[in-house]
Amino acid sequence: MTDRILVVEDDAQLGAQIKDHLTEAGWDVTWLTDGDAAAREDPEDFALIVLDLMLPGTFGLDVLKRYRKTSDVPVLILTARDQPADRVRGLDLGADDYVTKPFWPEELVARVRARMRRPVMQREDGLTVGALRVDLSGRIVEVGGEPVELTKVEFDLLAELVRRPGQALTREALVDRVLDPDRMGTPRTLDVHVSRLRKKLGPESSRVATVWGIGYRFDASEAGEEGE
Amino acid sequence: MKLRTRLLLTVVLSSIPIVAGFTLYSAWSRENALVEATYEATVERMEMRGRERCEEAPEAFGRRAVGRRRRGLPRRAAARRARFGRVWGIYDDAFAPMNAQTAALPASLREPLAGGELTAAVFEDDRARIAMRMPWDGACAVVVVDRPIDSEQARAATIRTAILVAAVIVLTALGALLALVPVVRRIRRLEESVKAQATTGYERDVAVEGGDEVADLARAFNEASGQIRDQIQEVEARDEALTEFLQSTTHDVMIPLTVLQGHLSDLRKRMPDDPKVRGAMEESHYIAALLRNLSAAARLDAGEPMIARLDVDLSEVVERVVERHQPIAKARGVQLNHAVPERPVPIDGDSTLLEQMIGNLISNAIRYNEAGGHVAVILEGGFTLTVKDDGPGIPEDELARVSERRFRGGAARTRRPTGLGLGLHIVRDVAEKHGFDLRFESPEDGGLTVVITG
Repeated sequence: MTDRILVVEDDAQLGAQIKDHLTEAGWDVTWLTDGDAAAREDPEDFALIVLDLMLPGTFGLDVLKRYRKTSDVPVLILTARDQPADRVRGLDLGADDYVTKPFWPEELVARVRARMRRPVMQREDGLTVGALRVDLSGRIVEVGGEPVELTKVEFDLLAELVRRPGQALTREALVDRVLDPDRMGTPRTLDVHVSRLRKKLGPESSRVATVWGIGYRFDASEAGEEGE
Repeated sequence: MKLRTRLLLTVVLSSIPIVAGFTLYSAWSRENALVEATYEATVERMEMRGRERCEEAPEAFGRRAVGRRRRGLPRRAAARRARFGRVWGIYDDAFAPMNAQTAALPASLREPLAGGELTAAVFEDDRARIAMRMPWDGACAVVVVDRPIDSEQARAATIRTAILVAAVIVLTALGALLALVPVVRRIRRLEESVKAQATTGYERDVAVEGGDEVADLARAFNEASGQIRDQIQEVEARDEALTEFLQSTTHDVMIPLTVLQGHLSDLRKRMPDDPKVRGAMEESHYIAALLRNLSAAARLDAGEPMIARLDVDLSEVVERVVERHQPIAKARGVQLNHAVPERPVPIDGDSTLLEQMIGNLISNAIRYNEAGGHVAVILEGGFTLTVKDDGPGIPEDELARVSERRFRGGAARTRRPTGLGLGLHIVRDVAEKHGFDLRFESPEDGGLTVVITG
């Protein structure tokens, strides 16, 4: 698995900037300004390709078509045209995602990160982050190697959040999925369960984060990484 | 007035003088024939015996019917009088009465004879008085005969003629109406065809049938619609050029704007607390939003053909738009969070316009919020999209105005912190075009909640 990214962007300033930002985010970036040159590259040499659609020489979509003949490397297209048809054509030709100009560098980096082929840190049946280990199939929760005793509702609540780490879930959705339908479950009841769960998680309690206006989220970020 | 009604009315009106004329003519010609026949019969009889007897004894002449005296029944004499009439008077060639029973010849009878006419007649209700100039001079040169007329019969003959003429006219009118049927049908077809042409933007010509005036009319329509078509094409071409210009200008601005945003983002990393850097970020974000809104407004104004109907996963749109606004939310110190269901939320729509709709709501919520504020975007599976914030909210009267049509103009240009701007109007238009329900709520604990359901 390589960390190489190919950037095809004809604008000198923008190309240089994209290269800088992706390099800063930890990737090895090759930058080309010409569609013909891009068409000569072997897409399999890269983990991801950022492709501008408006290129001198070979048109961006033709480059994409050529890549797709031999490779299924993730391709992220850059477009400045505000027409849904353009995007759809790109996606139909096999692009995986698109970013519309103007964009903030953070937006591009986030899109690249989301599309990167990288080893999945969490498995289907659980997750380990910081001092916390959650085993979904075994219904085991440990903090710093010590097992934590959870009630059924508390475990189901944690499991729902852990299954979609980093994503906020609404109180209403959690009430529906976690609380016993036979007993009158309200968002208020849910909040009580959350506060008990947090107490039991001790040093990892902040992983169960309150999200204003929505509900709760499992924060799976490693120490030092900025949580979304 | 319809064509058929007009034709019928014309026939009826013009037939009145025709019927009257024919009736008068037939009466006149019948009288003429009577005078002629009487003259011939009288001359014949006078030549046979009458003249002789008259010249021999003018004073005795005229006591009986013209012709040979016969011993017969008085009834036969009456019948003869009916056929030939009774001698009323006898005059010499100077129109002087020849016997005592004869009155002076009235001027109405004398004058035509004096003028050289062979006969002169006066018709009364039930009889005709006919004066005749015999083909000889002398004592019995003028014979006046009284002839009875069967007035009932004459009237019946006149009515028969009138009915006959009227019948001919009615038949003619019916024939004309019958001939009019295909003409009216063709005009109707032409009318439908012209109407259809107008609704399809004058794209197709109307069909030209035959070589008459209806066909000329169809050709004239085609010429006119050809001109309309040319004008439409011209306007469309101009419109297209303008849109193209807007698109390419936007495209040209988007690249340097992206570069600018990159630089600002780098600057902020170096000077995270500098309010000027933060301000510059907000302004560049605002410019980008404005450009996108202009492009969206142009497409909304252009209408259906410019608005795509494609499969869109609304979850994906929400995530993308939230991601786009995350940098600016962080710069402002506003927490922006979102929740989407686990499964995609597929709808038919225009992804760019939907992004713009959601983006404008998020943009406003961040822009008018304070540092430490919150914005939450929630999409629920049945498709309810909620964007709520704990900012200052929107005053009721401005909320009411958002739902008014054609509120753009002034509002679009305002940059007041509470001004709604072009953004909310695009939100409303996009929701309307997609058939979504748009609701603004002011919760009791403050802020603004916008709910869109589809």
